[in-house]
Amino acid sequence: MLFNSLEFIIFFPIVVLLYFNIPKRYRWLFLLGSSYYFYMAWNPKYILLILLSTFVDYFASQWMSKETTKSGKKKFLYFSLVINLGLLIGFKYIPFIDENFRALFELIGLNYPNAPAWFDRIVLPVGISFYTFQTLSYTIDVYKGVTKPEKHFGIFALYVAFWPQLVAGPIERSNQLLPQLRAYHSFDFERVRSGLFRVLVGLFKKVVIADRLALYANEVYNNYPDAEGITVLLGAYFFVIQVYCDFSGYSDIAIGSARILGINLMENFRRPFFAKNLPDFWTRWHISLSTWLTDYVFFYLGAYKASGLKVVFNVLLVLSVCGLWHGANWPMVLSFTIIGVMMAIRYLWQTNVVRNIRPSNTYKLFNKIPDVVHIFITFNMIVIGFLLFRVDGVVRFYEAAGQDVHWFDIAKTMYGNLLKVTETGYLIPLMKSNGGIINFALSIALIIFLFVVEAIVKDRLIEDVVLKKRQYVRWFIYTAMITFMLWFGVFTNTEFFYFQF
Amino acid sequence: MKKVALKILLLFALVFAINSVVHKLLVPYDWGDDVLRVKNEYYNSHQNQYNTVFVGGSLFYRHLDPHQFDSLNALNGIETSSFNYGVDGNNHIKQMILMDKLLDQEPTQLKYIFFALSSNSYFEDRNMHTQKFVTWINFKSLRYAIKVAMDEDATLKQRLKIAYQYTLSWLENRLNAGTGMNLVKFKLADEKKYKSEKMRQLHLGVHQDGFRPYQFPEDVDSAQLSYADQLLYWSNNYFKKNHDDMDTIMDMYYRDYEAYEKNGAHLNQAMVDCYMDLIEKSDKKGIQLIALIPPRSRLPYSVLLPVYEALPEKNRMNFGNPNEFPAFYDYDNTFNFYHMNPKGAAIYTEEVAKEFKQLLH
Repeated sequence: MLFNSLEFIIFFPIVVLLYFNIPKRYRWLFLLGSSYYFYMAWNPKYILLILLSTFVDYFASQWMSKETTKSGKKKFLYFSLVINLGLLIGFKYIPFIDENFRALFELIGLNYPNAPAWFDRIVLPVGISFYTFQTLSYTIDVYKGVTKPEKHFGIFALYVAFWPQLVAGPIERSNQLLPQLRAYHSFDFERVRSGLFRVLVGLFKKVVIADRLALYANEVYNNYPDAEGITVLLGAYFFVIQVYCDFSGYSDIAIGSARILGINLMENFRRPFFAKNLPDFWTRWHISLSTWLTDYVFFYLGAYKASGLKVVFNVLLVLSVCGLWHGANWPMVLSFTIIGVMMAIRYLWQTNVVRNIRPSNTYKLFNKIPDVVHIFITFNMIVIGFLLFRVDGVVRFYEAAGQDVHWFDIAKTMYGNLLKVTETGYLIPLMKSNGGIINFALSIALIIFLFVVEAIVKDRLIEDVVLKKRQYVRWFIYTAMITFMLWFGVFTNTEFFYFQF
Repeated sequence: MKKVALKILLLFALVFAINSVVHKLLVPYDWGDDVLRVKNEYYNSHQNQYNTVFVGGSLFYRHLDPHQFDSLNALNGIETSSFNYGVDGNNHIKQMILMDKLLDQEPTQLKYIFFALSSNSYFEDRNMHTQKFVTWINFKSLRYAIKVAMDEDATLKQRLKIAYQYTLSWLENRLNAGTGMNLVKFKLADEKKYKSEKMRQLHLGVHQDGFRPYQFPEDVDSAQLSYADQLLYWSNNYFKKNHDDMDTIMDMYYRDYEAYEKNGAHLNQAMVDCYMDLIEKSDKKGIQLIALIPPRSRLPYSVLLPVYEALPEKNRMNFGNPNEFPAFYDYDNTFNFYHMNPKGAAIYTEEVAKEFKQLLH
């Protein structure tokens, strides 16, 4: 079920109404049932995968808790890892692995057998990357002793499938979410009001900003051979902001919906485009994934305790895994690896150059560069890396039109055209596309609006800022947001971008 | 919980009220439909010239030639000056609004209004959320639609679906959902374009009387056509290649008539009541309403005929029977499966003039 659909508008109030009116002891059951219904509205069959993950991790953790030795626990950890990662690989990465083996075999002149027909029938289960990582973190935490195994099977099943964050996160940690799922939550007017406003903010970001910017980003990417210089840059800006509004919009709706039910989910974004450097960006963008990778991969690899090139390797590996998590295709992996390379260069610069010049006047001069310059440079670095983020989508677009284009050629052309800085190829057709220049102007205005609001709100929560205003100001904001959303929203039931992960 | 529910309701009412007022102040009801807008603009500025109008969908727009109709009537001693108000895809609810507006005009020269008879308030799924099919729905037409839908010979689920589709479309229209940008563009730029000569040429036809038959020159370059015209061009070609399928459609029409003659059919009384209200209103103003069953209707004749027969004789004409009017289904007179070409349109217009003469005498 999509958050921006009519079904959700009906589903959500019914769930809230019933949730607060049924006896406490049945609430977990009701939430679990509604979560499965929410998921099955997309494809009923795939609920079996969630059930399998739930059973495996529940029993693995129970058995683990009975083991007294580390090696005893480890075999159940491996059991969980094999099943969960096996499902993830089976449904998400098999075609990618097959494609790469084929390319490798062809390169060395060997015959590669044709893929079986059922390969084409594999459908990526919505949210599999999210709930797999969530259940994995639970099992790892139980193994490490950070979390006690949940005895109540129903509560654990709800932890895996809790509908607000089931299909696109935030990826919650068991020690944060499980106690809240066990607790009783009464109806709290202030909390509900704050949750509802957060839902409204998320819908606004998705329907008004993300879906509108997508029209132009698609136009540039799908006409990539013609787009040059400023047009490629504009397309990339539009795309990066689209992804941000789309995904953070989803997180806002998830956080708001859960809050109404009395459950606090973690913040997933913290003004990422105000990051002053790439490591700072890493702590602000898709926080639940970046902290997951930091905790379970980066620290496992030795983090910054290692030295020199080992740290560089760790950073590159984590960012590549992050790319692979996002999509089973090389452009996506490279997109994040490029960010990793830039982070590694920064690390080497910090450890080898800045450390040596720190007491000097040169360093003081560096330090005086205004924040806005740092922010602008960081934003453009992200844009350069994320230029590849959508290239696989372009490949599929051309495939659907019957043309075979290799992703590398698209990437080469786009980066090449980006360097033609003085060229304005395709700019006018872009501005005139999607209903004329007035629509394009609205898109630019919306981007400015987004940055201005984020600059005003700073690192506070938007609901905390707005809900402290006087009543007439609040009502003006609500009415204006809803009216603007109705008037200028794009209502084509477009899926959230991160559903594909 | 009550407090939250009340506040949400209040907020929704506020948004609804603001949007309704803005909508009413900013745009005319027909702003979402290019053809209707151009026709309304033209008719309103020339209404003193006309005493007859044709209100319907493409079966009127593409088939009834006012120029020919007036000439034939003149030969019969009947003075008409007519305008074709047909718009592709118009359903009967939209026709009702237009007829209502025409009957409300004061003063008026109108003596005759021909309209396409319909029997239900169907709403095709593909037309949901489209500007053309949403922007004209007002509360009165919503009531019409639901009343007629509920009286249809269909399952409760189907009837509720139609009612839901109209209600949602009405809400979308009242709240300007997804149409804000086009609305602004309409106010800023498009409003004048509907009065332009170019638009009139495009939608009003050679004689500027609202008739534009389906026809492409033999040497037309289809790549240069608009998307809508390309679809028509494709449908024309498809018909030429598969014209044997016409027999299947003909069979359907024959079967339909036979089935009705044998068994009769469900009468949609709500539909008849709506028409009778309009007839009463028009009689008071000295205007004669004439319902036509057009040839090649997509609605089954067995459903149309009960409504037709419930109307007074002076207010109805039937051109649907393929036994009586085989020429309307002849290959040479056809453009695509559901429409005639200019030759077919000329034959049809002639028949309407003939029947009209008989009706008046």
